[in-house]
Amino acid sequence: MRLIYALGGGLGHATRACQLAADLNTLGHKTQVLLPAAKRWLADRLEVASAPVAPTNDRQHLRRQVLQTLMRTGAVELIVDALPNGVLDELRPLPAALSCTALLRCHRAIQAGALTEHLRQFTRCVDLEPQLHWRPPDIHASALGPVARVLPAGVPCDVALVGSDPHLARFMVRLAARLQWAGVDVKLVQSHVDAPAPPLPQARVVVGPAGYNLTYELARTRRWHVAIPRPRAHDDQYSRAAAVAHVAKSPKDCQTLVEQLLYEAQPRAHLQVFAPDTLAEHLLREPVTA
Amino acid sequence: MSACQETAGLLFRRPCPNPASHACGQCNKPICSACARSLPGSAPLCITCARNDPRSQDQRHQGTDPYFYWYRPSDQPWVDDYSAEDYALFDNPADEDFSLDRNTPKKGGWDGS
Repeated sequence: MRLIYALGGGLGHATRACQLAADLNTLGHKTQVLLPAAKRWLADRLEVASAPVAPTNDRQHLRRQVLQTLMRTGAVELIVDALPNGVLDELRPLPAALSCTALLRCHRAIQAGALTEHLRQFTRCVDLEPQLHWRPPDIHASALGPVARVLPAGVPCDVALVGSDPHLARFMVRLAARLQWAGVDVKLVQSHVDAPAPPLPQARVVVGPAGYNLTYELARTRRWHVAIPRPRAHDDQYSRAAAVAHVAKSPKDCQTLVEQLLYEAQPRAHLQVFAPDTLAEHLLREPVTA
Repeated sequence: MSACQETAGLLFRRPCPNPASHACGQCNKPICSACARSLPGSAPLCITCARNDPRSQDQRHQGTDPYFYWYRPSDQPWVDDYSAEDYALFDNPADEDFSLDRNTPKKGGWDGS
């Protein structure tokens, strides 16, 4: 039995963890997902066994819940997705007598050296964002590359505006009004972490945050991404957006970028983005012992 | 009847598919009625000429003609419906520490970590 730690992050984070669990199960390796109780519907939808956790700000209580789940499920491997020390630092130190795998993306704490020692405790690390060169050379990891699911087919339109939080959503409404007035076919998407969202519209240009999953889902399908990076405790959306997307610097700049990409741009260049089942196969192929 | 030669789009230049019905009063270009603009004291002008004509201030200021949406004179205050909150979205506080936020989980989890 494997347990994937998927606390923290947004909807994309939990979706990817559930998809990885489903792929590992398909390959014959029993896997469960540890995720916030409010996101259990994601695991149910993919018919993946889940261990829901109630939100808390008590580090010790959260650590107990994680350890109890590991014991109850008889897990022999813990796969930690994106937050190697947990949302409340509750995975420090790592549970003993257990293989631990870290799936890594660009992490803000690495710059301060706060994670370096902790990452050395992992049996193995897989870097899912090596092209950002964020990881110090002394942290050994297999550099796989970005992983994102294939987006389900959505409604065709010119531009999709993704509001992942109320602040961003209010701006998107104003931007949509301006673009619609100029004759652009716009669809607004309110992405909420706790609720099933309709498929992302099949837009030529998408304006939204620069979270890992949205960014690479768009890169995989070669849709233009105008990014409005959002501040996050662990994730560095600013670095990612600068490397992979077009960063909007102001409301007007955002509008101008949309128009340029919509009417003047050549097709987006290809960026290699792997499917979640490639990650599952990579995990099964890579040696577990360091 | 020749085709309308106006290429002024709402956002970017693009050909007009309509047949021309008259000529621009300034550049004499064949234009259709949809691409003609009447300015005080002149024959109808094409959109391109009208945009450059100071007499087109009504179109610019009223904001009712989408072809003039981007062509407000720079010395006039732009009626900007973006709020300070919108502009704040584009600040880059990349060097700040957001980790304090993580100890206050919202309903449902530790979202957006």
